[in-house]
Amino acid sequence: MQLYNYRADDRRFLAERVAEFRDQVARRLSGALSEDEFKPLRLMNGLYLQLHAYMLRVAIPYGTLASHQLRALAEIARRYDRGFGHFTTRQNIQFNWIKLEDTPEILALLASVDMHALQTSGNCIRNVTADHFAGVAADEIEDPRIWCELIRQWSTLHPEFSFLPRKFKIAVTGSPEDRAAVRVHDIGLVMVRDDAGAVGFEVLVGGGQGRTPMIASTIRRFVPKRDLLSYLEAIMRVYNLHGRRDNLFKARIKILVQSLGAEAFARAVDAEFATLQGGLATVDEAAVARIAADFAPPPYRPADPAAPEVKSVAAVEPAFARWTRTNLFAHKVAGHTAVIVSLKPPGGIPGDASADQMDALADLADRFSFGELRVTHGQNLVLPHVRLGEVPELWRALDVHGLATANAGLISDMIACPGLDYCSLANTRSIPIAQRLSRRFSDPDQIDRIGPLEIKISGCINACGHHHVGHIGILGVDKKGDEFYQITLGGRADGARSALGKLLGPAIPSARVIDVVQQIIDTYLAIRCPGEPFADTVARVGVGPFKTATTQERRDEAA
Amino acid sequence: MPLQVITANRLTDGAAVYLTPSGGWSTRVADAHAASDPETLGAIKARGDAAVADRLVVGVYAIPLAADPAAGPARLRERIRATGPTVTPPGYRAPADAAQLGPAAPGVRPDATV
Ligand code: SF4
Repeated sequence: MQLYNYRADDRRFLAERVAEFRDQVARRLSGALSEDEFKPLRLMNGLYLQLHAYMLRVAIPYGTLASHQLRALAEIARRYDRGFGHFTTRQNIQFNWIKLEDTPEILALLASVDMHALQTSGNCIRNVTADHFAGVAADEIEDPRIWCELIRQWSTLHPEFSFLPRKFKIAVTGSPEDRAAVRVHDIGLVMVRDDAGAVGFEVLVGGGQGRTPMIASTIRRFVPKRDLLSYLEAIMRVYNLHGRRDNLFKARIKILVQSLGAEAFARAVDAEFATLQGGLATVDEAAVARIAADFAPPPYRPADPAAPEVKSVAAVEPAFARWTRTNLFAHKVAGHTAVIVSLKPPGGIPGDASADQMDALADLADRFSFGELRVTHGQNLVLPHVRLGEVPELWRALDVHGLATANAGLISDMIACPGLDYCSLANTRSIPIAQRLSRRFSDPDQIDRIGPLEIKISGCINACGHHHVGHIGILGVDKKGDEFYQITLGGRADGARSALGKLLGPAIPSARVIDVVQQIIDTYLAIRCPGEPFADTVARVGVGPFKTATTQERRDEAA
Repeated sequence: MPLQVITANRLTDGAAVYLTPSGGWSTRVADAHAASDPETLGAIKARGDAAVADRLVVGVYAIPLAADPAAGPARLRERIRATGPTVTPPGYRAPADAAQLGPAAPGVRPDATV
């Protein structure tokens, strides 16, 4: 299995953190700590207070998960929560009804499978995200997770990074095709080759969503591997020194990059880098080699000539054929595929999985994928190493558990944040909009015809649902106590084509959202060039035709 | 001035709770001490704040009730907070001890039509 192997030191550190939090919870319950004193401590351990209860956000570093870890998550869902978990757009999982007094036990259970809730909250370097096909994508230069793990180790206890002006998000991709949305992160790292063929990193800074969305700028085309941490440290220093601590809304690094300009920012980083290069943070090759050994490919077996061919099964099973068209992804090893497990059944809650489904998936990962799974930032799961000959059997097994929805990348494969059903910061609900849309667009032939399309829904401007980069973005706004939604078109987060969505018009009431989206789709189908995906059509024609087509519907609504 | 009640989150499990006339905390808005005159409101708010010091609850604040108090809180956020999410997650299991209820808040369910 490709998984960072905890060493004795890692385990000791986690055990100490659990013991420390156990003591802090006891002191909170005894009154020795006030809520003001306790709140930052619980947040450092991923424990938020939401509308209905405490919510625990558990880190799934760079989205890689082992079957025994998923079983532990299922156990938490069953024993300490209400039977399910919610996978998030940051490749984490959230539990929604956690009791404060149970939290130390839950953290201990997590630690027993080398998991934790560190860096899932607070103004620190958050859990690093990566391409969910890392290590298996046919188009990959190198597995980015080795570097994610290095960044995780470097950032977890770094005293300079524990109290940043704001939270800080880093994403890494090892492929030229960006599946990690690197341009909407504080720092995006893209593995590239220089002219001599050496592998290093293109560094992008200042992307982000939220209230002031921005696409990141490249500040250095190539940073050699040995300098990666020194260069990142230089960026963090410039940010720590100049970031706006006085204004919450201006504290993210994107505001600093914008106000200085990317070039001046890059110069400031270069000056800092000159003092750090070759110093303490220089990457230790032996340490990288140790991590890389943990991510060595599993013992793939050659294809079984007796196994049924995907094509021949597809010829007689239309539902299977459809699913193989959308939910398989090209693997770098011949005879294998990565399989996307959709957590978006019609009418379902994007990203939710029941404890039973988690257990079933853990078993299927053991049977078909060397015990390994991935969490995608699109709120789905992936079985990364499946033999092609075993795909039909896997599909049948997934179907039994309601996990064989054939819609990866299609209109019903939506992102939705928890919204007002759970989140104390929300303006409006997100999930019911996703549910209604997925029921409206549930006919397999219809969604096939529409083709690749990403709808992303956030319940407030914090943009956890990534609406700014949705092909169709939906943002909830409160209008005198009623749920209204702003629609944007043409956002995307796929590498160099990344763009922020443009507003279709004033916000519309909840009841009209589904019909307006339908009209947008109808317009697209009428004006697209043959084979042209939705996002490309919007890029070609702009928002105009969609505005015109929906004017009546939108006006009716606002009336 | 509309009727208001005092709400908070219970320290031990974070559940939304409401201050009752006897000074206890209930998970049901219907049990809450509702008042509209500033003096009474100030007094019950002070009682709520005292419960923070007693480590019973955190985050005490007042919320208005709907024009028809039987309909619960005026704002959608507080109605959902009072009655639970309006959606039913896969595998959802209500706790045995649930006065704090799970999904299915009458009156806040989304229009199911598509
Ligand atoms: S976008 Fe807003 S409503 Fe949605 S989860 Fe984030 S903070 Fe909550």
